Amino acid sequence: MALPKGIRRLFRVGAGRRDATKDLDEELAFHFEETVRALMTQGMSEAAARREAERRFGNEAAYRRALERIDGTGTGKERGVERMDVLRSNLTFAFRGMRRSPGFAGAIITILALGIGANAVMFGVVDRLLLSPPQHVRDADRVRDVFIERDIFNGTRPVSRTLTFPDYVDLERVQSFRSVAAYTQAEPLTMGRGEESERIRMISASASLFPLVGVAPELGRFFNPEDDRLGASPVAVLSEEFWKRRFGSDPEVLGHKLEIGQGTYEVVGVAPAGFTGVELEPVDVWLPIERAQELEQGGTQWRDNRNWWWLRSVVRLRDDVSDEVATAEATAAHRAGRQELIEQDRYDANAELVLGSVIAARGPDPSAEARVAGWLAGVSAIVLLIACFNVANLLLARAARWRRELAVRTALGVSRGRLLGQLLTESLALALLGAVGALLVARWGGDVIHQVLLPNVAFTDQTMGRRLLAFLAVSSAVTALLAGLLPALQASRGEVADALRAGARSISHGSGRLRAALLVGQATLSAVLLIGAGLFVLSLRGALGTDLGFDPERVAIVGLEWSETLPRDERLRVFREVAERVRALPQVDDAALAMTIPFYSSIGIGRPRVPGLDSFPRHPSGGPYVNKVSPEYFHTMGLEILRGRGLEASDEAPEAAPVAVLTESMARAAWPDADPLGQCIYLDRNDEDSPCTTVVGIVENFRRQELIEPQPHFMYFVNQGHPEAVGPPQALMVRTVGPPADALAEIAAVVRSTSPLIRAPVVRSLMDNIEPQLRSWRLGASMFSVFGLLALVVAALGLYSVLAFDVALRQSELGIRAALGAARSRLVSIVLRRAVALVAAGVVLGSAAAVAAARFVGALLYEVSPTSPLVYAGVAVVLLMVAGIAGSVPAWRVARIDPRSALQAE
Amino acid sequence: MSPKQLGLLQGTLDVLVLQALAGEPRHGYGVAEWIRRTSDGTLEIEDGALYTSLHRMAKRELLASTWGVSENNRRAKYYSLTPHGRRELEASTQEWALYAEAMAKVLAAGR
Repeated sequence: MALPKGIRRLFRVGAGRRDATKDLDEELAFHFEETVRALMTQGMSEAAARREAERRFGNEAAYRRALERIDGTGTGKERGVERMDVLRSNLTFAFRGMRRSPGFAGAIITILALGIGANAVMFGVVDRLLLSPPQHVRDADRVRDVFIERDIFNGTRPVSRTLTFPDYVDLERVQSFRSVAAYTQAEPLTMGRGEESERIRMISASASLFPLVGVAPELGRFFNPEDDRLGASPVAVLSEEFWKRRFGSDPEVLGHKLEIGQGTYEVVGVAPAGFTGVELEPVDVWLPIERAQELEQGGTQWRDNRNWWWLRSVVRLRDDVSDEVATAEATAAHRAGRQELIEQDRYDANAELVLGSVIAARGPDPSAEARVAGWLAGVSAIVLLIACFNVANLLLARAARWRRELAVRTALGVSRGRLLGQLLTESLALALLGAVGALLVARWGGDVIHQVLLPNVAFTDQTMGRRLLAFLAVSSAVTALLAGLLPALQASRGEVADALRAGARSISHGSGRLRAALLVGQATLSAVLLIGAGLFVLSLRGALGTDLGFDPERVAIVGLEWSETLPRDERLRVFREVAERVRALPQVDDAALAMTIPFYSSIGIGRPRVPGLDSFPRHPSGGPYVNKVSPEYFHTMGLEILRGRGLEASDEAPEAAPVAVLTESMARAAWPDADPLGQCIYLDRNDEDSPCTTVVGIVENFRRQELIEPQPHFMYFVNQGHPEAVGPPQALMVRTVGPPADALAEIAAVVRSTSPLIRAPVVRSLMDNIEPQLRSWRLGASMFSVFGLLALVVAALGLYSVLAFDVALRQSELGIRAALGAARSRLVSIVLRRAVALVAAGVVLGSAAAVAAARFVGALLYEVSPTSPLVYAGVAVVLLMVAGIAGSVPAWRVARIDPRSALQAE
Repeated sequence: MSPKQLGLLQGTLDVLVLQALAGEPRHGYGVAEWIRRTSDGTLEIEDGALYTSLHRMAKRELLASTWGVSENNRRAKYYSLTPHGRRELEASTQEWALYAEAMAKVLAAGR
C-alpha cells in the first residue's frame, strides 16, 4: 500500500535518529494507516481517505515538531525552523486580525501615529536644544561659550553673553585657549536696493571662528585673517540655505558682488548645510567682523571702547587644560584688561568670566527656547502615555471578544508563552504601522512646530533622519510592549480558561477593572493637559490684553537705510519729507518722527537735575530715558496727555525754547508734592550751563521694553530743537487706519519713491517688537492646547471604543435584562453612567495632579492663578461632555437591542 | 509553568483523553475513535492535538505507554492511566459536574 505523502515525508528524515524519534514515526505511521483503512471501510476511495486523514490530523509538520519538543528529541535546527514557523504564524494571526476588523486596527494605528509622531517631533527639538552641540562643531566638548558675571551697580549680578571688542582681544592672550573667536548675533540687514532689496540675517564673525569650530566650506573658502582687517576688500560667505534659496545653488556665485548694509561684499564661499556657528539661529550671510563693523558703524568706538558691549566670544580649550584653570586664567586676563576702569571704580573688581557648554541648554543662561523644550518633551510624553493606555485598553477589550478563538487555540495545545507571543507580535505589528504614520506626523507636525513655535532655531539637521528613525523604532517597540503586555498577560491567564465556561458573553471582572483603571488614567492625563492649556490661554489673553499705554495693534515703524552717509540735518529733512508723504496715504491716520522705538531702543543721558531735589531717584530699570519726537507722536502712538499740552508745531522751530513732556511716573518722582507744569528741569545734572527745560505736559505711563514692568519707567519727550538731545530721528512711527500689516507694502513703496538718498526702507509693525515677549505664553498656550486636544481626541476615541466593545460583549446580558422587562432608559443609563463615572474620576485625579504641579508653572503664568476655578470647572465640563458624547452611540445601540436576536446570537 | 497554570481549556482536551483511557488502555487512533464515537462527532479535534495531549500527559506521568499489538496485528503504542492520572481524572470530573450544575441553575433562573 502506498503511504500517504505526509508519512513518506516523516520517514524521509529518518537517518541518525534516536529511538524516541523512531517510536514517534512508527506511532504516527500506525495512526495514519488505521485512519485510512477505517475510512476506506466506510466506502471512501484510497485517495479521498488519505486526504481526510491528513485533514483530521491538522498541520502535521507543526504537530510533529511540537511532539518532538514534548519528547525532548528535536534537533537545534528544527527548533530554529519552529521559531520561524511561530513567527510567521504569529504575523499571520496579527494581520488576519487587522483584516477582520480594519476599523479597530485603523483606530489603534491612528492613535499610535499621533502619540509616537508627537514624540518624534519633540525628540527633534530636545535633541537640537538639549542634547546636541550645534552642527559642524567638531570635538564640541572642548569648545566653550564665554559669559561674564559682574555687578552692574544696581545690586544685581547678572550673567551675560555680551563682551566688548577690547575684552575679546584680552582673551587672545589666555594660554589655556587654543583659539578664540568673536561673532555677533544674527541681525537683519538690507541686501540690494530699491524694489530688489530684501532683509537678510547676517552674522559677522572673526576669521578664527571657522577653524575653531572645525568646519569645512561647501564651496570656495571662508574668510581668513587678511579679509578680517580694517580697510580690507570686503568679502562674504553665504549659508548653504541662502545660496540655494537665492542663487539656486549656482557655483558661479563665487566672485559675485552683494550690496549688504553699507558695504559691497564679494562672495568667496558657501558654508555647509546646517552650519549656524555656535548658535542655533538661522543665518543667511557671514561677514568678517572688523571690516563689517567698520562699514556699518564707522569710527573706531566699537573697537576701542570698553563700554560698547556688542559681541560674543567662543573659545576652544587646549586638550590638557581643565575648565577651572582656563576660567581662572581668563578671569585674570579680563580684570587685567580693565585694570584702569577698576581703579577708577567704574568696573566691578570681582567680575568673573564663566565658560559654558555650546550645547544650547547647558550654559549658565539657557535660552527660553531651551527651557520650553524640556516642557514640550514632558507634555508629549504624557500624550504617548495616553496613547499607550488607550491601545492597551482596546487590545484588552478585543482580547475579551476573542476569548472564543483564544480558547480554541488553547484547547489545541497552544501554550501560554506562544499566546503571549501572538498578542505581542500583534501589538508590535500595530506599533510599527503606527510608527510609519508617526513619520508622516513628524514630517508635517515638525515643520509647524519649528516655524510657529521656535522660529529662532535653525532646524536643518542632516543627521536627523537616522536618529529620528532610530528613535521611532525604539519608541514603537516600547509602545508595543507597554500597550501589548498587559492585555497579553491578562488574556493568556485564567481569562482564556473562563471563556469555555462563559463564552464571550460575560465580561471578566479582572479585565473590566483593569480597563476602567486605564480609562481613568487617560482621563486624568487629559485633564492635566487641558488645565495647562486653559491656564496658558488665559495668560496669553491677559498678556495680549495688557494695557501698554500705546496701541501696538495700530502702529507701524519705518526705518531708513541710506545710500550715502548724510549729515544730521539732511537726514531730518528727508525724514520730514517721508512723514508728509506717508501721512497722505489713505491707509494712514498719522505719522511722527522719533529717536527711540518702544521695545527696541532707548537712550538715557544720565539722571537730570531738578531744583529742590537732592538727587533724582534711581529706577531699577535705569533711566530716565529721553525721546525726541515730532508733535504728532502722542496721537500716533495713542498716548493720552493727562495734563498740560503735548508738543506743538511752534516747538519745532529752530529757535524754539527747550520743552519737555514727562511721563506721569517721572513727573511724580521729580515733584512729589508740587505741580510739575511750568517747572524747570536740567537734563545734564553735571553741567551748570545746562539750559532750563520747561515741563509743558504730562503723558500717561506706558511700557518701554518689557511687557511686564513692575514699576513704570521714567521717560520724557523733548522737542526737535532741544540742545541736549542731539542726533537725527531714527524712525517714523505710523498710525494706520486698519491693521498695520495691510498697509506695510504701500508705505514701503511711498518711502522708496521719496528720495534717491533712501537706499531701502525697513517697514514693520510695532507688534513685531513685542511678539518675542509673548512667545513663552503663545508657546505654552498653543502647545498645551494642541496636545490637550490631541489627548482629548485620543481619550474620547478610547472611551468610545471601549464602551462600544462592552456593549457588544454584554449584548446578550443586556438583551436578557430587556427581555426580563428592564426599562430601556435604565439600560441606557447603565452605559452612560459608566462613561461619566470613569471620566469624573479622571477629572478629580487630574485636578489634584494639576494643583500639585501648579507651583512649578505659577511663575510662568500671567495674571492667572494656577488654581483658577474657572479653568478647572471648564475642563471638568468639557471632559464630562466628551464622556457623554463618547457614551451616547453605544448607549443608543443598547436602546435598540432586540432581546430575541441578542439571545439567539449566543 | 506549573501544570495548574496551563488553564482549564487546555485541560479540557486532557480530560477527554483521560476519560477515553479510563476503561481500558488504547492506542492513539483508538482514543481518537472513542472521542469521535462517544460525542457523535460533535467534538472536532485535530488528531495532531490529540497526540500532543497524549505525549504531554505521558511526560507528566498521568499516562503510561507500552508497545503492544493491535486488533489487526500491527505494532502500536498503547496508553493507560497511571494512579496519578486516575486521580486527575476524578478531580476534573468533579469540577466539571459542579460547573454544569451551576450553569444549569443559572439558566433555569434566567427563564
